[in-house]
Amino acid sequence: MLCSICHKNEATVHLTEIVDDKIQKLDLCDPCAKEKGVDDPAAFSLSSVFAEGANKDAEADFIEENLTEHTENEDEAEDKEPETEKKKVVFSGKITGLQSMMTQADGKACPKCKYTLNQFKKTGRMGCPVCYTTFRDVLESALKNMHKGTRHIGKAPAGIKERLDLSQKLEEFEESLREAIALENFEDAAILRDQIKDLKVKLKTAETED
Amino acid sequence: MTNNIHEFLTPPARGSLMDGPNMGIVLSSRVRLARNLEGFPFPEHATEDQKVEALQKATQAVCELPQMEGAFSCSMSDLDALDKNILVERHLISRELAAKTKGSGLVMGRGEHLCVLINEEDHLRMQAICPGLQLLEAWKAVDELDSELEKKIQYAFDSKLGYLTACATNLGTGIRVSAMLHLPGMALRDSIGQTIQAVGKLGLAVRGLYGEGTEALGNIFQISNQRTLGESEREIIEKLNKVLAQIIEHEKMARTNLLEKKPKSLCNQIGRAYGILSNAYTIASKEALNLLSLIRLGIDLEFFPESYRTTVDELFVLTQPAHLRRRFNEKLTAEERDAIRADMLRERLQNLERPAPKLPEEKDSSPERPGQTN
Repeated sequence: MLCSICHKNEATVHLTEIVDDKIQKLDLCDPCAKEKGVDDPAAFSLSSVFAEGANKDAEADFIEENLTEHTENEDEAEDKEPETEKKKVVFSGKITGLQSMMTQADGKACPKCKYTLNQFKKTGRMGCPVCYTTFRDVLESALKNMHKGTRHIGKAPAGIKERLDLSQKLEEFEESLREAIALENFEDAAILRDQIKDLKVKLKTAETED
Repeated sequence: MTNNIHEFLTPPARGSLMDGPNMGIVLSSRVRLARNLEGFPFPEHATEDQKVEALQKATQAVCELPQMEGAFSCSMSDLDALDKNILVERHLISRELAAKTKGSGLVMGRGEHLCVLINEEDHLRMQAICPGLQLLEAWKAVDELDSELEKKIQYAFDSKLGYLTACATNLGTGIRVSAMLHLPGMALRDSIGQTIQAVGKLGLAVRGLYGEGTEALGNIFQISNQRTLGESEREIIEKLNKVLAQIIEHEKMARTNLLEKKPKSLCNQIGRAYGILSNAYTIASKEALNLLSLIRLGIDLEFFPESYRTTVDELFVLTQPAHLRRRFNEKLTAEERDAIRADMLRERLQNLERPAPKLPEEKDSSPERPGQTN
């Protein structure tokens, strides 16, 4: 099997990734894998290579094409213009999972720093802290592949830590309250209601102190 | 505060005397935290003015910390290319920071134990380095530094995503825990590839001597966590510690195995390394590192006296290109460097006795010894 990117070398790295229940596959040779940073499987997210491809070639149509068709196209391209060959990313088989990612409003920009979604896809980096709010929905699925979870666990700045703990406790108490009411355990529910009231006051003072 | 980085840096002769647990296999432990300033764009997307402003703000706050008393601080534009390379060869700054100029900087604490890189990929990258296997100690040191700094600087922090970083791969804890390992035993037994693969499957990264995308020169590897979100700092450290304990065990087994099963081949490798290093008249830095690694293995196996460990560790640093150029002449060509490197190695190793292998009792019917032709 030839490398899906350069079409010259034998593919030695075979990647399969499941994003939102869709399977994405990619076969790469060693040099291309290194270039894409794929030689380090743990760090790598397939979607980033796809996203990169989408940027280099504005037309996302090629994804719908299959490998054989493309090999022919590539042969022609090689004679005329070797430049385009490098830019094209070709995949064997149809990969529909990426369509959503690429057809999303690429022009969306961060209100704080004017960083665009396109720039984010190209570099894999954010422009400023506010970008995380701006591009949150796009980021969510990528985070699942990258990390163990999507919610921070661990150290937080001292002032914020206190607030985080309080709001977490509040969530737990509210859950218990719902359970108690469902079980018609009104004695416990009354106690919980008072505790929740206290917590909310504490949380409010913690927030205003900041 | 001194302005001269060379007066500030620990001489390699003294640096090589530092001792820590498991030094035979784990050269150093490092914990790095990525932090950013609230309200500033990340360095890569910032204008020069914004970077300079963030640099000033961060540098001032860091220098005021009690841990940074008597620290060295400078802008990257104050250092020439050679100085930067020396810092890279010492593993004190990243190659990424070395490539920066105006708007980036560093603050380095006394003894080089703590170092803060400013406006690399993130506004702040603070690290603690400890000799040997001491991940928890390194974490405690950098955690304290961070807790002091958060009193002076408002960090970019999100209650769900944790510390916000320029690249989403560092999000959450912003922590990178890594150990630099010397694994000649596994390399000689060709089992290093398997280990790298196994470690990769655990969500950890294996890198070469100078970090991302570099070769594993001198059989030195860096192992670090990749994931930073959804796990606490302590969980990440514990996990790496567990994996490291296994790697250390494997390396020890590989060495024992070589001694028992392939003593001739092992002696051959170490003997040749000794022969070349103590007799060559020109040697490239790659070859020198790889051979010094075998001498270091020889010391671990008691083929050479323990007293040479510091010499070898010092030579690991001194024979590197930027260090040679700084010591002798900035304009040295590669060929001149190779000759000077060989001179230095011959001189420093001239009193090192030939290896005296301490091999396990060989059985009479050893297949490796055809007849008595010694």
